[in-house]
Amino acid sequence: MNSSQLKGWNCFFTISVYTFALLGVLFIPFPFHALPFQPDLVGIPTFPIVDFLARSVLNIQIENPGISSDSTYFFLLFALLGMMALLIAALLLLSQTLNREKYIGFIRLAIAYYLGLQLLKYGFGKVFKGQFYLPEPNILYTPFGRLDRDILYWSTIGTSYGYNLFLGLIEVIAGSLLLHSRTRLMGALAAGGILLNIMAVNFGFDISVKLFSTFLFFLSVLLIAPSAPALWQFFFRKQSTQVPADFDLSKLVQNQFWRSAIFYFAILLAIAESIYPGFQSIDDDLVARPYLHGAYVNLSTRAITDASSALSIERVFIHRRGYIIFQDRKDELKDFRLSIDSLKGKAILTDYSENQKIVHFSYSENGIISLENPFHYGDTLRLKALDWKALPVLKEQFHWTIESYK
Amino acid sequence: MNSFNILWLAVCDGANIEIPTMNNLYILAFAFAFPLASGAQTKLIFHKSHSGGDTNFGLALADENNGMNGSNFGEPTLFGSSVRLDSLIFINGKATYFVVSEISREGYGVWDNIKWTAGRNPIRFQADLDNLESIEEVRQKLERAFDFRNPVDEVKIVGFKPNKKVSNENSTFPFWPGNQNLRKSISKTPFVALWLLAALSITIAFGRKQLIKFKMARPN
Repeated sequence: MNSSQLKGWNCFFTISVYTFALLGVLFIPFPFHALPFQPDLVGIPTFPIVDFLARSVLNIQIENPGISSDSTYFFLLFALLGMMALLIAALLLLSQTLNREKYIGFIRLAIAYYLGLQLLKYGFGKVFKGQFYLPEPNILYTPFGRLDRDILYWSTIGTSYGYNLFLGLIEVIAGSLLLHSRTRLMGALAAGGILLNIMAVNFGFDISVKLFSTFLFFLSVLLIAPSAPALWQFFFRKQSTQVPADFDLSKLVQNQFWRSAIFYFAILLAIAESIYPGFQSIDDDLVARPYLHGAYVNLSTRAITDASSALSIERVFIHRRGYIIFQDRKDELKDFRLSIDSLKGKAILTDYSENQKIVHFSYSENGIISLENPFHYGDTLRLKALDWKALPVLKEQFHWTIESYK
Repeated sequence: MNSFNILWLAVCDGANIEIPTMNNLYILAFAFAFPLASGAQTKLIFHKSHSGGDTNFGLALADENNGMNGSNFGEPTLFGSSVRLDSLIFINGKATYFVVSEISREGYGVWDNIKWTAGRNPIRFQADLDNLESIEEVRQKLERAFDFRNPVDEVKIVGFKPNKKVSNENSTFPFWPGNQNLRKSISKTPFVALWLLAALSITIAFGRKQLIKFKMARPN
């Protein structure tokens, strides 16, 4: 059915759904490289209302509220956008000046570009190994059963470059197909399949991008929806059919020159935004880690023999993003934010309550680091680097035949 | 002064400098080619990646210095030092100024609390760079003690005089320091990039129009 033929509640529902999609595209605070101000900008009108809804209407008290992936306020933002969509749809229909075909067509175009951009971003993120990165040493030395499913999934996928490349390229192809009107339906079908799998992963492994991935899947369904009857007829009734022509820029911008300029701008922006991380590093696994990043075993005899010690440290890890993690003999882990005063030979360890511990260290040429034990003053840890990259999970292995296992 | 410095000084508040009339795209491409690392996480996965416990997640969210601000939706975020050291100036044999240009990305610096500003930074702290025997030693010290995003080999060292007295190398911890005070600075680079993309799009559209005209005007 053509959008201009819609009537009554059906029309109201359709306009509301598309309006909701457009509001989502505009008001979800997303970390774009080209638009780093977007989250702050969209937060100006939305955050106060969401905050009011939470505190005054729903009586939800959150200590550090923020609109980020799967936060309570993010869910409330969707509720707010839903209410706004209903209101806008009602007003548009009451005004009786709405060109439905043009309005829905414009939103479909915006959705296609947004979804294309997102798939390109996530796709290239995987190709450049930026999304599922090499697991940190502290994760590699944490017993399997002690990891939560989300970090476990993230880390497992991060160990295979080939699979990342495959996933990434599939997303890049689907995203690229969405950008052109001729290939848009194929792109939407591919995107739908990919996003359904992502949703299943996010729900199945409890990864906190559930709502956003559901929203992206919803966008792909919206793009497919008008062609669904034709696809049904073709695939299940084996009848020849024709998919409805999709809206394109020519119906919005008459001037061919400006139409071309807008089209190229959208394409270039999507490409630049997506491949920007690749300019920083083609393969994040190969990017140099901070000096002393890695895993260390404690050689101190006291730690080995003194089981009654409050925390007998077995390993110490330096995380890539400025954390130090201590692992005791029972595999309990304790992390601190790390700051180094290299000039005075002090390491400043800050816990989550902003309490600081200052411990002294020294470094010897034979590779042993002496670090004051932050849990037991007077005790010194003697740390020797572990070859964490030689762990089986990080070994480049591939076997065509089972006999090649030796 | 290289292209990146020109770009930075031109688009940011730090300095008043004219851009030479050269290919802006080249400058932009050059600016992009700096080694930041990328890593994607949700806030929760970032927290768990450094073995943060569930009970501490609320506290971590409240802490501006926790490094998770850029993490959201599992998208690749970029992190790395935001400071480029152009030169180190010695006066009377003493390291006196760091001349830096800032790169206003969401830099991730955790290793120290040095606040840098674009241009000359007087060395107010004990930098441990005096009385060294050779320029190589100075570079080695720079690499170990600070978190600049450019290789130390690119740093111009001005006015250095070798000293025979050898400092105690082992007394310093070979680590990456850095800064975290630039994280909140707002970059104008994206605006420049958007304008350049818009200009490029118009150019392509214009080129296409001319091509069509040319094809139509050409006799069969």
